[in-house]
Amino acid sequence: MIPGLILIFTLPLFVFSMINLPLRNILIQSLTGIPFDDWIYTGMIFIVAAFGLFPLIYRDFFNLRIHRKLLTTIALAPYSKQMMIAGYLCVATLEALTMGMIAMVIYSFIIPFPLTVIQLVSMIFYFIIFILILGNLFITLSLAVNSPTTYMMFTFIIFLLVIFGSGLIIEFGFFPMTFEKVLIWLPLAIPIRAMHFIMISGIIDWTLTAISIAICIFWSIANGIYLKEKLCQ
Amino acid sequence: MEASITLKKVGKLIGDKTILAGLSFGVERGTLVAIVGANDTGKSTLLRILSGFENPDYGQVYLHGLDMEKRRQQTRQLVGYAPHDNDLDPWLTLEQNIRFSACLYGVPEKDTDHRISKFSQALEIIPFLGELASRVSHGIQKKAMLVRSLIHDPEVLIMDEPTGFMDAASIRLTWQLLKKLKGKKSIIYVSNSLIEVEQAHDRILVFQDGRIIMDGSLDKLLESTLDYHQFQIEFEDLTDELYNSMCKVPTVVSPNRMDNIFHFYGRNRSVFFDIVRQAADSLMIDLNVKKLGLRDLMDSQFAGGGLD
Repeated sequence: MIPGLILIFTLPLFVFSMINLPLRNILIQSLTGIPFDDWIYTGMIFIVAAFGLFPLIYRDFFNLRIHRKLLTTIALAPYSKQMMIAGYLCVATLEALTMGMIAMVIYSFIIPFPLTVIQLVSMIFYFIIFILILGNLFITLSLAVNSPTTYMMFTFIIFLLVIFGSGLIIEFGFFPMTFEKVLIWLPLAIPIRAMHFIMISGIIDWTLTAISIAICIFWSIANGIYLKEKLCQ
Repeated sequence: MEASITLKKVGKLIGDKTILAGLSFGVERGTLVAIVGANDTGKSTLLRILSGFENPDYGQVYLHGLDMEKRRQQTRQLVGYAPHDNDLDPWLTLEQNIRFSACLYGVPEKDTDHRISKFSQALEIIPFLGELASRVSHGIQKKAMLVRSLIHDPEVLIMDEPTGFMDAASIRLTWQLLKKLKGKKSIIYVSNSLIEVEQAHDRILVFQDGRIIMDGSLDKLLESTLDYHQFQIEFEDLTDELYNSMCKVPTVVSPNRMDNIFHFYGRNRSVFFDIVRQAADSLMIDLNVKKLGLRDLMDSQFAGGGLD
């Protein structure tokens, strides 16, 4: 048995070893001139949090649902489905935030901390929005798919998208132009673009920020309706 | 007495198949109601509708006068539901599962402690409370599910096979508890254990094809058996010729055989003597006669149609 606590501490190290160490030899700086080590820092935190977010949602919305466990009891409690979704997302965000913090502490021993206070605050803000959008994506997937094999394949695709296609590690400018046009409007990429914009220019992109928040809210409501539908209630 | 549950023309369809067909009945507060019937007749679907887990396709369900569809949150607080299959979180202990449910219903910690202690003691599961739900037997899981369904002190308790997977002692303890709760709570349960149903009910609803075909106490239901008796005679050698001749006796109803045992129904005990006359030359080695019970009533040959 491997205790989960060990994984929480080793995951940031794996992410650093597998992503930062090889890529820093290929990419020296971002297209906007930011040193690669600084550019990739927020990306690693987001990726660690994305990995941390997944098990909770997988367990409650997919594993327990397809095996007809606990979700039944939760669904019978006197709360609306919207409230249930919001509750799960809150807990998932807190867990992801904790994992992100642990990753930051671990990285502080390996690489210098590259963010100013304003950049740190904005990172946490967009981090929460990113986690809420990703959490909603996982919830929709967990409710829509009933086969573990299909679920795993979709999960791999999502993680590939998070790591390489959301702008966290590889900038959109490195993709072919038509592909870039699609990727920049993916819900997961929007808060990351808004975060990078504020980090590079120091200015808040209100349009991207508003779109990100709107996606969070509408997706949560849609998931509430979908959960109700799925439980035949 | 005041109504606890009222169903008005409640129906449920799955595709083209009718699962529940316009059910209308009421359950009085504090009564113990058993629902019996053949498999796949809609009993569990009815329980899921009463618990709020599923919605009917048409009709209304009222709990303590509140429409379950319009007053969802209030009615859910009134219901405790223990499904047939184990739905405990396998990675939590039994106590954690119960406490989690208590949190969902906003039960104060003090009440939670008191109820866990009271019901766990009554069902003798205290030594297992710290065990993971996946590591205990199905019978213990079932008892923990019962405690969990009672943790928020519901007015209506709905159970699908309440003693499923349980050993004899556990069944006794479970019924002792449920009989204590009867009167304070309305209890509705589905069971295929007809012996238990005969012993524990104020009222029995017999289901067939999504409809209630019989409704009342055991005595009332057995009135329809018209004093029929069940006979079982074991011969030393039951030949085909003898079997066929006994089948032709006019007072013998629904005859069948298993090896050398001749089984049939008759309106009164005197039918036995008709058979004795017919089989005077054959050696009988055993005889069993009993009045019909719920099991016989539920046999597909009789339910709905009766013996005549």
